[in-house]
Amino acid sequence: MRGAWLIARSVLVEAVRRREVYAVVLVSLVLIGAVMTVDFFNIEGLSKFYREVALKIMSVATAFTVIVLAARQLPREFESRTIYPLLAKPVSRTSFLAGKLLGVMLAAAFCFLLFMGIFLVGSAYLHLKTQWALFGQYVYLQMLQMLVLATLAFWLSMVMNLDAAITLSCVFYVTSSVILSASTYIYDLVPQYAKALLLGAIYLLPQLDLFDLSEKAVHAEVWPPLPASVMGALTLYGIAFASVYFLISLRLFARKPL
Amino acid sequence: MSNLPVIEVENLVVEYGRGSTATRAVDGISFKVMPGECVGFIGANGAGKSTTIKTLLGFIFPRQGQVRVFGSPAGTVESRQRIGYLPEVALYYPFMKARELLELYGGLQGLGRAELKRRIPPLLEEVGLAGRGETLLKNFSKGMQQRLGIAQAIIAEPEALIFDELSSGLDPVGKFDLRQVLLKLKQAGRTIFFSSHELTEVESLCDRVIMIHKGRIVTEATVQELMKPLNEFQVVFQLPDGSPVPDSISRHKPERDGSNWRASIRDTAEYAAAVADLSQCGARIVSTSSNSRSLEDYFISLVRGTGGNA
Amino acid sequence: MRTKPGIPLLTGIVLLALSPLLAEAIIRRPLAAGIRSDDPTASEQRNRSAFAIILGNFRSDFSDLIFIKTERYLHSGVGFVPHLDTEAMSNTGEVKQKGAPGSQYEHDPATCTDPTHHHDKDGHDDHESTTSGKAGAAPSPSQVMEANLATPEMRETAELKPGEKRVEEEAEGVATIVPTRNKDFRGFVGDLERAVKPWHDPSTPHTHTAGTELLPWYRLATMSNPNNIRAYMIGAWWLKAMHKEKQREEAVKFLDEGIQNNPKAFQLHVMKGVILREQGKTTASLEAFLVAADLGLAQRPVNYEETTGTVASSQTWTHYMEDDLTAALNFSVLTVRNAEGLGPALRLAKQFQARRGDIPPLNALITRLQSGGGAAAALFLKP
Repeated sequence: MRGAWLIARSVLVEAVRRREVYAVVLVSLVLIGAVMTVDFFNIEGLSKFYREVALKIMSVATAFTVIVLAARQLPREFESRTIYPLLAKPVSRTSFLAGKLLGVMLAAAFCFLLFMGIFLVGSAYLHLKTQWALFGQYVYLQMLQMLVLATLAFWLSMVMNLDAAITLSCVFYVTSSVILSASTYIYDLVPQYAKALLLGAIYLLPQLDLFDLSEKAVHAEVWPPLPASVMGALTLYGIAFASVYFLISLRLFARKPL
Repeated sequence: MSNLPVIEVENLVVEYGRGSTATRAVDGISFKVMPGECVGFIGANGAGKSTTIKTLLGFIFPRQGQVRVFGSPAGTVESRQRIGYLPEVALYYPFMKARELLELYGGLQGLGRAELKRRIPPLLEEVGLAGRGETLLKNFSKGMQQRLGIAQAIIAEPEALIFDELSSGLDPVGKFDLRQVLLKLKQAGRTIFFSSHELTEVESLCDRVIMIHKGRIVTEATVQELMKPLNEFQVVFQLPDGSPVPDSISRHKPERDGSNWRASIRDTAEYAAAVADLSQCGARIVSTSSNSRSLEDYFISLVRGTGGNA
Repeated sequence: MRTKPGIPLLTGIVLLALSPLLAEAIIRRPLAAGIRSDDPTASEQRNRSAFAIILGNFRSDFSDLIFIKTERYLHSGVGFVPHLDTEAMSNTGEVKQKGAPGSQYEHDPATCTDPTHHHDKDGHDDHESTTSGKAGAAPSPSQVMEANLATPEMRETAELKPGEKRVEEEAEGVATIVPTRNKDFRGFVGDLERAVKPWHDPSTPHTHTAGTELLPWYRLATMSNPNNIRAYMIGAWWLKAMHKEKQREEAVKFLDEGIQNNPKAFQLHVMKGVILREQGKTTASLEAFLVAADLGLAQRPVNYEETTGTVASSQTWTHYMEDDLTAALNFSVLTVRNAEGLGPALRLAKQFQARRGDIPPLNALITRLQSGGGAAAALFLKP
């Protein structure tokens, strides 16, 4: 366990010391700032618009950061040969991979915390109220989504090259919500075999959109926090997919000659 | 000290690739390294040295055979508990400081925070990196990285050390420093197993040498045994009329060249005995010369397929 | 000398991020007064804007996507399926649509007091576009007129006081994009989506939220596509609904920009006239109504009655809507009546009639004016 923690810490140190995270945060900040500086008829207190723009940019930026960070963990270790002295120490491949995942999640949390800090400062500046319970749930579900994405990127990075793994993870992230919503439109219109495929896609692929509470967070004034049962179900749902992807990654990694 | 081998390799076969395209990198080698021994693992590029070492650490998996380290199958956490390893090309996280890297590796070997704090400064000094603890590794030269690699390998004072290409990337001063470190470790009774291209290093450090060529072990001997056939003495002498060639000389098949006889003797003791016999029988020694060859000459002749006699 | 690659890269990113601002500057400069939307030079200039360069042909789709978002905002994030889909679903019994013939929802647009309802020619409740994909809680000028018909208490309020919950109950039977449990094949995944996403049981009435929050989206929609006439119109309407002079001025400025970009869009002139009238600028508002009537009459299809209700007519709804022309004509005539009396108003109405022949709503207005203005007098509340 200590080994996993030490490796996780090294991933976090990398994320904190490299400039990519700050670049992403800065670009997002500039984007949010630029959109907010457009003259919207001199109207003040546009809370929904601010939330919508800020939360969307932040969650997309965090997701892409996590995908890139997770997908490159193992290929970079192989490429730079830093994995040899690490795995020569008494640390199992399971601990190593778990440490990497934990590190990516800590880095995601770091990135997201930066964003949330900026978001809250922005809210305070605009004198906007924050619905803390719903906002907390939004942050938690985003982290669950990042966990699923990180494990998926781990898996893909084991079976394809780095660029392909990043691209495919990003495509999956972007199209996931389409699968969820479009399926209800077309289900009645397609033949039986396609119905089975749709059902398979719904159940076998993680529906990342289920972890996106931003729409309720935008209209936070009218929506109550999610009940504990829903949060629990979402937690199980996310952990189930993350576990499957992690175990597949682990199996591949354990068998991989270095 | 236990008499169980630190490293035990039995009929190891390692292949890269599968099926008909598989390349056999190691072809049925067996050897043991006993506690306290310093063993050099020598071979040309592609001979199978790094593959064997990677198998010892569980980085790659054997097709056949058994590999045990401290009695545990290679690759298990237990097998790596008591060893320190320096890879052939040592590269470390460029975003870390030297101290942080040693904390990471030491931590992975179970050292506590206080212990690490105590050990790191003298260790950095020992490998010639004193005062560099807070420098980011991206600013380290290749030689400095190699020195740091040595530090990470020995930070937990492991019972055995496995070095792949021992002094790769080090300048002469670095090599000297490293040799001092290894001599110290050897004197402290550590087991050392390393591959190297620097055969003078092997000569000076090792008790025993294992030579591997095309995946097979071709020589396994103590350095003394190995060096024995490498020295050659020539003696040119004239015998008194009618005197027979002494037995100690005739064994080496001397050749007659006019009134002179010429003999080549490979063993120092035999050479001494032959010279004594010649004096005793009244022979006149016209000249003597010695032709010492190094381990490197031997190795080159071995690799070129001329055996040890070239 | 070695240059750090990060600095030009960062500069590029910042410039890209600032492109909406640049776009505004680029768009506005070349659009001097008098440039027509169908002028090739004007089009070319517009196509050089940052939005056009970055988004290309996608700019109009992007604008529509933004526009659709406003519908969701109005429903606190709940997505409702487009009206035509709901209608089709009601035919199959999938949803119980209140707007179906014979139901209590069927009503006369002229008596409707909900300005957020958009009635098409058949009197359907139109939350989303019927064919073109344009969406939004679109009040047409005729609705604006209807809003004026309503009692002051019933008038729309775009801004809510803290804690205040508006608004009129909305139609039952408008299907949600995320289906109900019994219509959802996705089992627990569907359950989770209904819990996580803003969702409302379509069998129960729902409420609308205030429209102020929609305004930035209309601004962005028009920045993306300066030909998005509905975005200009509805944006201006919500500004007006804030009942503040500052916002009325903003609305007029916004409409002026829309008119510059779309000089033939008579709907924008109607809206401008309505706002000017509310500002007490009667002459300027009459001028706007007359321009609207003039443009509208010119644009009314010759065979309008024959094509009404067909796909061909509905496809052109963004360019011409009978309701909009009706509003233009009515506002023009009634403004003249208020200012100068029944005689001049009747003369103006007949001038309109002479120009394009029989237009049923105009005929109705003339009849009412001829009967002494009785009912018509109530039509037009003074601002």
